[in-house]
Amino acid sequence: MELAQILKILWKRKLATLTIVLVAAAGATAVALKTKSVPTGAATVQILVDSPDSALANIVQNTVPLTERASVFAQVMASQAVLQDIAGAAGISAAQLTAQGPYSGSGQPLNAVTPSEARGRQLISERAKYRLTFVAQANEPVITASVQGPTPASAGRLAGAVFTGIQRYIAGLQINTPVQHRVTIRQLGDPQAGSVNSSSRMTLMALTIVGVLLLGLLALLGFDSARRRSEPQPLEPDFAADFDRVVLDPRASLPVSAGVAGEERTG
Amino acid sequence: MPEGTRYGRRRPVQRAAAAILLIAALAALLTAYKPSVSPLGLHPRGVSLAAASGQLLVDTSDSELTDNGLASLYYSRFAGQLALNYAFYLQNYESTQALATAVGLHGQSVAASGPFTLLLNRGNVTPKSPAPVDPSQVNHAYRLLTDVDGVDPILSIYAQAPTARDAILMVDKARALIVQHVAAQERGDPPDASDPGDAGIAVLRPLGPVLGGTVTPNLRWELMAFVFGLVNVLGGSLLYARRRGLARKRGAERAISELDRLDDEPTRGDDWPNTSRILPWALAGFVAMLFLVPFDAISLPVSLPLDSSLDRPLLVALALLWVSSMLVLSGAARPRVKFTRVHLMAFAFFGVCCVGAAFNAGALIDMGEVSLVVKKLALLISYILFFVIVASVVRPREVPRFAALMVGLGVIVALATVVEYRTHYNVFYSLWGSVFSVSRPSDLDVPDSIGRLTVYGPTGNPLELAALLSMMIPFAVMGSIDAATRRRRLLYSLAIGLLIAGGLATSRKTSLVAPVGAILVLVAYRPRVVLRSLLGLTLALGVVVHFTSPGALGSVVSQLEPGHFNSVLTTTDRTARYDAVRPDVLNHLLLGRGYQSYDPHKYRILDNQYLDLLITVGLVGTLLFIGMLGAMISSAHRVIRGPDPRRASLALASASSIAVIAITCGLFDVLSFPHVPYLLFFIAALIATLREPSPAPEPARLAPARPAPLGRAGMGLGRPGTDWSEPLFDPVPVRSTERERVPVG
Repeated sequence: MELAQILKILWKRKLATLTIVLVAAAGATAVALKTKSVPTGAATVQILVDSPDSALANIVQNTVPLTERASVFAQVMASQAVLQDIAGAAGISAAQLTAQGPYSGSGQPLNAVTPSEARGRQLISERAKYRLTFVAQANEPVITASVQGPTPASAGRLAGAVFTGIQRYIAGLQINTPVQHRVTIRQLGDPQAGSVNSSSRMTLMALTIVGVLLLGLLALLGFDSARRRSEPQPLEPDFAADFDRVVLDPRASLPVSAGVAGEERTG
Repeated sequence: MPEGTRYGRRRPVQRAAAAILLIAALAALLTAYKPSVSPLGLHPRGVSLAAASGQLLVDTSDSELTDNGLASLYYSRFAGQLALNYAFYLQNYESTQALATAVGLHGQSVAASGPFTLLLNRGNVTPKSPAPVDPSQVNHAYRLLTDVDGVDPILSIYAQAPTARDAILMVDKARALIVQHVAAQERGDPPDASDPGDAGIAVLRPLGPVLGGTVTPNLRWELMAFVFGLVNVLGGSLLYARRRGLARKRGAERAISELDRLDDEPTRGDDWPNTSRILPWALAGFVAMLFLVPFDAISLPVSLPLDSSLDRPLLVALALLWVSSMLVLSGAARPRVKFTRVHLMAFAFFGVCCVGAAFNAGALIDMGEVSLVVKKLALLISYILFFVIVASVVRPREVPRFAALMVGLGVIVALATVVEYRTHYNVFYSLWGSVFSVSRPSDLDVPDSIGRLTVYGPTGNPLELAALLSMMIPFAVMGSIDAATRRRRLLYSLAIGLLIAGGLATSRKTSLVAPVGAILVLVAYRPRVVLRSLLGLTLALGVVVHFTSPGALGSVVSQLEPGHFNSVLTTTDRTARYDAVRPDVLNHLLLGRGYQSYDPHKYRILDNQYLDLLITVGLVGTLLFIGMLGAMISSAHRVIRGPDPRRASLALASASSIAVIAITCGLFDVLSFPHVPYLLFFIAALIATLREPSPAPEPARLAPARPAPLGRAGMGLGRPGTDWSEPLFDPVPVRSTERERVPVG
């Protein structure tokens, strides 16, 4: 089938072509509605794992135990126990939160090639509105929390709740700990929030239009081609000439000549 | 025709269509539901997959984690080790049986494994010793996975089961089991407050509730839709084939038989390389780039949308030239776009890739993978655009010349690969690195995990290089068989040897498996001729391979030995992935999670294009991709069985090359590396061209107005006075080749 022929078919089947265009537009609209609540906000906040008299301000205090604890805290913060406290502090449902990988960028150290059982949990978590990543620095008692949320404001709010959440969890464990020995959590400055993924929706809408149009038009061309093939093929010219003067008499089992039948073939 | 008769003819078709619909609906229903007679009804089949997870913190009673005064070694050493002990404790017979009982599997046990984070990549360090038979039957539908990193005192427990309830129950029960076990141990040896050694008694703290859910919420419907669609497509195809198939087949055979013979050279041909048409020259240049330039490693100093690798601007320039030719030229010089079944399958595949990404739009945006999908889709449409251009530009008489060009370029790559294997010097990356900014692979020319040298050639992966060279072997073999003179036969035989040697120099199993696949296809069509030719060459090939790439053949063969094949890391890694990606496959069974969105750096390296497609474009996309390869081979099939031996040989070599790709798709992710896909679509376009008649020579009166044919001497490519009108690889054989009868079909 040549290009000109394709264009002719599409022109001939204007209504069907128009319908496909409308379906493509409807598909793009559906994608736009479906992705209305996707995260476009991101925020980060840093947490310092410290002692009551601040290890960073005390030259004789060893910070290695704190750094080791920061690594454990980063994992504890990704557990449901702390996530529930963070969600409570941010005023959102814990079911909307996840700290599951796989991680890329700052969370890459937490990532591992996961077997089927663990990957299943990650896939379930892909539907969560808010995503958190906690990464402990290698040589410092500092944890960086990255938050992804529906808007920059909500992501920032959740990042702000990280400190409150972990503080609340630790306080529950320190009931019997002497005050001077308590590990102290400090937030390093205000959360930084901004926008991400701003053009993804438009891109996916464009992909929908292209995909639906392509599949629809191919189906239309395929249907037209199959239909043309199933139509009776015209006789070759020399055979057609022989049959010009012959008609079928529905009452007779054999063809009879036009002269005998007394009528002309009309087409 | 009387209306009644027409209706009478249509009625059986309608009846058959209705029957197909009914069978499809029934098949779809039975896929998802199990019927029972007593009691009468349908019961859902266990097709769903659920997962749950929970964590435990290994701490002390007075929480050493939050007490800075207790600076013991507990957290830095012992707690992590203790967590590892607990992880293994949960995998014993008693625990796995208890977990099975908890989910109602009496007399059975659940499958248990882990930890994967700690033991990652250590699977082949300890040889497997015989294990005693598990006293209870292990139900692999119910699985427990425990994980620790060996440092931090956190035990993660994962479960997989047919329902979310069972998965959550398993994790809950596992946590309870280990807590009870520790408590029982402590009851047996109560802590002594006066003993400083007993200060660090372990306390297990559950870290929040167990969370779980269904991984495959829509699987039942997707399965039913797939089976319904598949049965309808198959039934419809059979019905169509029954009504029209024979007539179509005869029509296609007639069309092929009416094609002109490539051996009959017209007196005034305007075919590449003796042509002033720019497009074939541009295509030849592009093909040369595919073989000689590591273009995907070259970043241009200009910022282009999506990607700034070298092939993009060249392809855009090619496309602009093509569009200009369509608009400006007329007659035979104008590119002629003809829509074939390969076009149909390629565009349908692209359409499904777009729609699949749109269906999973939310998750793609959440995971930040939209840009990756768009980038890969742009690459895919580049391949298809290249195919459309080549299929419309190249003429049947140019196909032998392009085939010869490819073999020639393949030989250059093979020689450079052998040089790289022997001297550890990569010609392509070194030379092009002095012109452009080339990012050299970090593992270029260093041994891999099993001691094989990582030879790249101009490509981005040794497997890609092996596939590229394997694709050229069928063309060299057919060139050798069809060669008119002893000299040319010798040249082609040498080319076969060098291509094999170059492939083996990559030290990859693919370098042996893929050519064997290609040869099998050749043998299937021409058993006597191909076998006789190859048997005659065996000794010579052995000598060439041995002297050019010493040790390479032995290295590859040893990897394929029965005892070795299943134990090398490259094989075990591949097989381990089949189970690991099950949730990803089942999560979006029909249309996948988004074309090429399964980032190997983020998730896992699959080394299997089919598996990757199954995850990213689902069953529909994978079947379309296979259908596209099938369409390419089936397009060649008719030409192979046609009356023109020249066209048949080229079509057979092309089909064999496509078969190489079909095989290598099972060995690495072919579409992730651009050299081979571009070449695949180029060869597919050559097949489409072979099905077309040669354009009629231009009328003699137009000749003076045309520029003189552009000889290679005129372009400064050869010695002055050389007669370049004679093709280098002699695309037109003098010797008449009587074709062997085809035993297949």
